[in-house]
Amino acid sequence: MARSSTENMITLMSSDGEEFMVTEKVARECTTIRNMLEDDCVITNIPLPNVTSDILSMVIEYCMEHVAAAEKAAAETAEKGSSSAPAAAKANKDLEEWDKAFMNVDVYTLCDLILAANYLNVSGLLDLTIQTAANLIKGKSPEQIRKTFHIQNDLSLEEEEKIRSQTPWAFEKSE
Amino acid sequence: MDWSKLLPELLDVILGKLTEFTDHLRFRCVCRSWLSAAKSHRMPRSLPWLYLPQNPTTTILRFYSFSENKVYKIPFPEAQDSETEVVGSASGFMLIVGHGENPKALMTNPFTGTKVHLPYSTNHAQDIQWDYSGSIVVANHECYNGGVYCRPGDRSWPGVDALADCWIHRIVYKAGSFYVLDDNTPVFYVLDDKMLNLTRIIQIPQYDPKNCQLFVSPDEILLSTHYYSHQKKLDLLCFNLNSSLQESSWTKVTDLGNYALFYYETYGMYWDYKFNFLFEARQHTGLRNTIISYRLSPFHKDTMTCYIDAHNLTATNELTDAKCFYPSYTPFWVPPNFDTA
Repeated sequence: MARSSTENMITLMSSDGEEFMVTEKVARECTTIRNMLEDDCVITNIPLPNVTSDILSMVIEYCMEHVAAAEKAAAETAEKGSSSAPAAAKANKDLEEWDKAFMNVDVYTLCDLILAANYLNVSGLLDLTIQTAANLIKGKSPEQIRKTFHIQNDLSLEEEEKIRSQTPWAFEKSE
Repeated sequence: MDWSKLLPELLDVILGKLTEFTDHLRFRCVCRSWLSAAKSHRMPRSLPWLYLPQNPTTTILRFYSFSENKVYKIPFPEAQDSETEVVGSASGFMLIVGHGENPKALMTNPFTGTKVHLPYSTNHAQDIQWDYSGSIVVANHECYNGGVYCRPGDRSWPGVDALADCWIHRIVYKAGSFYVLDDNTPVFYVLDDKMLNLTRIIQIPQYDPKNCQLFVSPDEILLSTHYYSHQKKLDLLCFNLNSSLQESSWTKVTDLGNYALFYYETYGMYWDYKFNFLFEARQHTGLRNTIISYRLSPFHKDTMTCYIDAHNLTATNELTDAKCFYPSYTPFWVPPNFDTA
C-alpha cells in the first residue's frame, strides 16, 4: 500500500532484544504506547522490558488485524457513503472468528498475553484473553481448574476443608 | 507465567466475567491467591434457581440452576418434619414452617446458610404471601383481610395498620419499600420498611387485580396480567415510580431490553433485576427480553412434571426446550442472594 511509506514507523523492542517495526497506527492500539507518543512525538524506538518477543509478536498480530478490519470498514463507508448493515455484521463476525482462532493457545501463553495486554493497555485484547480464561473456569471443579491452569494447591488440607464445608453442595458432581 | 501469581486486579477482572456464584465458590478453593481475590470480589447476581420440592420428609433442598442446567442439593436438617411446609420469597429467603409436635417457623437463605427464627403461627401455609427486608417480615393474614409483620426475635405477628383493609394478593420488597397488591381493589400500596407507614397508593388501570402480578425494580413497577397461561398470553404494563400519580403514567411494555422476567404460575411472578450486567457476560444471549416460566402437568398419579419454558417477548419463536422434573409440591424461583449474609 502506498500510504505505508509515508506513515511513521515505530520500533518496538522486546525484553529479549528483538526489534519489531510497526506503523504508528498499529502501535497506537496500545494505549501505553499511544500515551508515550503523545508525550514525546519524536520517539521512534520503544523498549518494552516486560514483554518477550514471542508474546510481543502476537500482540502486534492482534493489533494489525484489528487496525486492518477498522480501516476496511472505514473505506467501505467512504466508498458507499454509508456502511451497509449486512456487510458490517459479516465483517464483525469474521473478526470474531479471527479472535476465536487467535485464542487457540496454551494456558501459559494465555497468561502472558493477559499480562502483556494489561501492561500495554490493549483493551480489546485484554477483554478477549480475560473472557477466554473465564470460559476455561466456568462449570469446573477446583481440581479441574488447577489441572487446566497447572496451579499448585498451596492451601492446607484444613483450610480447603473449611472453605468447602461452608457450601459443600457447590462442590458436588451433578446428578 | 504462573496463574497462581497473576496480579490480584487481573484475577478480579476474571471474576467479573464469571456470572454464576457457584463458579465464584469453586474459584475460592483453587489456591491461596485465588481465594483472597474471590473473597474481596462481590458475588454476582446469578439467575434465580428453581426450588424443586421433594418428599416432605427429606432433609435436602433440591434446586435447578437454569443457567448451568444443573441440579444442586443443599442439605437442610431442619426440614425433616413430615408436616413441614416450604414457601419462598422474592428476597431469596425460604420460609420453613413445621406444624408437627414442635411447631416452628424459620427463614433460611439456603445459599449462605443464614437462619432466622420467627414466631410460629398456624396462619402460615403454602399460599402465604410474604417478603423480608433484611430486618422486618411482612405477610398476609390468611383467614381474614389485613397484613401482619414481625422482626426476627419477636414472639408474635402484630397487624399492619396501613394494610387493615387490604386483601393481600402479593407482597414484594425492594429498596426500602414493601409493595402490596390488593386482591379486591385495583390499587397497590407502597409501605416504608421502617415504620410500615403508607407512602403511596397507586391505581391499576383496567385489569382485574386477581389476574395481576407485579415486579418491582428500584425505578419502576411492572404489572403483568395473564389470561390463559398455556397460551402464554401475557400483557405487561409499566409504571415509572418517579412519575406522578396519574393513571396515564402506565405504559405498555413491548420490550424488556436487557431484562428477563421469571414467572411462576401458581404464586405469581418474580422480577430479577441487574440483567444489564448479567447479560453482557453471559453465554445465554437468548435471555435478553425473555420471559422464563414453568408449567406443571401430571406425570402420573403421584408426581408432576415441571417444564421450564423461555420465550421472547417480541419474537414469536420459543427459545428453549422443556426440562422435566418430578416435584410433589409446587416449585418456585429462588434468587440467590448474598447481600443479607
